[in-house]
Amino acid sequence: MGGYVNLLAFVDLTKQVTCARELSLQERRMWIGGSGLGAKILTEESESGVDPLGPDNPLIFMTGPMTGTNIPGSGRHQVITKSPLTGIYGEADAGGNWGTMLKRSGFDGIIIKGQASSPVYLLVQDGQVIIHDAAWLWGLDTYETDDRLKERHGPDIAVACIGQAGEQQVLLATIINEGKVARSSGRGGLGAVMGAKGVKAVVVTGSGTIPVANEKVLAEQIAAVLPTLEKQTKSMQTYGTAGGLYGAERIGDLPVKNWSGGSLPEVDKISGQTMADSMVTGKQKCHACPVACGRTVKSQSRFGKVDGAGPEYETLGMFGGSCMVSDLTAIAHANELCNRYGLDTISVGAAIAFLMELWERGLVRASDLGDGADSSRAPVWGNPDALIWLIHAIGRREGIGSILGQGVKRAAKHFGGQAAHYAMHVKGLEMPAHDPRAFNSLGLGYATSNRGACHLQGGSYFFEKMAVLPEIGITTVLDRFRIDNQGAVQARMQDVMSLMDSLKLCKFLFYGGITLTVITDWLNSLTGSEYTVEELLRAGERIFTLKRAYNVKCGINRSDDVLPRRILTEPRPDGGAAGNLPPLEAMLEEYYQARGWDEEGRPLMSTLVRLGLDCYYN
Amino acid sequence: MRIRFAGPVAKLLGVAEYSLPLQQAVTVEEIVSLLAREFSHAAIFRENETVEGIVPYIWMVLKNRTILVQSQEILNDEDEIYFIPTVMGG
Repeated sequence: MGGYVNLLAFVDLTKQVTCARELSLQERRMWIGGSGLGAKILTEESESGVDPLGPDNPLIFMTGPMTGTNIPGSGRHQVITKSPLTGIYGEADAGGNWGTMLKRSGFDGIIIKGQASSPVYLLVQDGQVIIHDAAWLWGLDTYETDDRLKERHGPDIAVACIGQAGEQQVLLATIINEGKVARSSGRGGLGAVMGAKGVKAVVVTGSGTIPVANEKVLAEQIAAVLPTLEKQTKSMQTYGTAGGLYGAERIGDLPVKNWSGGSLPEVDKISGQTMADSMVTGKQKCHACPVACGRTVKSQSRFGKVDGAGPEYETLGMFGGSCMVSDLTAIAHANELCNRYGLDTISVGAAIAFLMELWERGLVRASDLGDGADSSRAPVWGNPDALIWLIHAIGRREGIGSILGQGVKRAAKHFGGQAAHYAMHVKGLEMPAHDPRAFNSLGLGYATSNRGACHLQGGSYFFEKMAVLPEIGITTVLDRFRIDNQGAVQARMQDVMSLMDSLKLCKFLFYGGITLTVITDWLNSLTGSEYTVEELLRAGERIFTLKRAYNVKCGINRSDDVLPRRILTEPRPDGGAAGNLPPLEAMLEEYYQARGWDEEGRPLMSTLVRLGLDCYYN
Repeated sequence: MRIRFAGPVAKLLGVAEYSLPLQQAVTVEEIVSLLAREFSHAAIFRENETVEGIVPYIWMVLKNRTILVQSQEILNDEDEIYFIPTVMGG
């Protein structure tokens, strides 16, 4: 079967042994790859009560059948584990070249269990996994780690590594790949799991090829849609994801002042367009991508020198919008610091905005800030010096940073009183830079996403701005404030996005007019199979539901499918989404019915049986 | 009808606002065609004409401050529309 190299590597760090096994046809058919296969393996290889930072929690790096092929948007891989930040199912999707190199090394995925007695890195090369000592790398940031490993193993490797934040098990730690043009497995503290295992890096390289069942037909199919894809993503090609900041502010989508504001008059200072004029040096693209939404930047300011990945939309949204920092050089520096420490810019931005609000409201005092605090670093809205200082503190797990680095849910418990009201998260994962009051469907998506507040697990807002997806009945762009038929539509969108995370395709393809029919045709030409759109949607539903079943075992129920009170009760005061509140309860009721779950949000046995999941749940 | 252009779009066109009296209801698509003639130096408007279907990809159009509209949306003289850069990604 094309698409897969058909081998999984298993590493036991405690016993210092590795082994491999083939993928079965049934696994490929039911779980596709990426997120689906990872969720299945996580469920089989661990108990739901496992300590996320303990040796028995598997850390799973997985590609999909499309990873590393010539299919546009296929330069992606997935990292799956139980999240230490949320205590439930955790995963992150990253772009770049790392997934491609993993497949060329001879494996579709790597499953890491156990705990090393001293720091190690894994070298995965031509069908072998070798455990190397990493004491000489421990303490380095992610850019330095990438450089050192390339000095040792040559330039033709790809490195996924943690920085100091992951080493110290900061719960907002990420795994960074591609060195200084950093791509990130960002959300849920996956870098802390890697740090707890004592793994500094996973280095992949190899000369293998990825089999394609019908190369000529696949090439023709790709060529047929490429012009439309390129045309419709022109805006993102021109300005990258950061180009969306301006529009997001105008439609009331951008978080402002920890989600209490409605508009950001200074948005022009930090927009992607301004970034392009002032510091962008080039475009950064993942494998086989015609869009190239990443940007490299250079800047020199009083905050220091920046040379590498530029801030993405989410980073600008959290540091610029939610923290109200309007100095683009400070944001670029903050972004680079997060990349180097290996920190999630969304959650870090949320944590700092949370602190700024507590400070303004007198719920945090100077004595709470600890060492290094002074008046120039006071966490007042828009203070770039506070932003930079707090990122260092979080990355080093020092002072107030050790509190914020646990995420806003735990930090709110630490501060007590009214602090929880200003902690903007769902299931412990901080909200990303899109407001559910600007897109009602996002409210339902955040509440029911299997990893906590996430805009990409449903991606519904894509289809309320400019995209359509006829195979699930979306033939015209949907009204963002509609209140009816949200449940069924959200469920189908989550199924679609679960599928994309399993095939390992970039979701931005939907902006480029790529349909599920096109994707199914690609998959069939790649693998030599005869999938139908319906079968793939069913696989997406199966994958999403398995993750929910895992979370139910972790104790999740309806009371967790919520939004922060501010989002449900405080409309944005002005701007493009002024006055709107998402009607969560009504949407949730309809959603559970559409999913075949009971009133507590548990998948019904009939649903599990229908999806072939009854063996995973009792 | 009052037509506004957000920062980057305004920069491109050289104006932030434009008044277009309407005798009858028109679609967003028709407004774009009118603007393509009016701002002949701005390829941005003509580009949209070359794409089939109704989904805009260069900009989004906000009607009366909050309503995101598509190309076939009917507009009246009392409406205000606002051309803003697309929100992709993130």
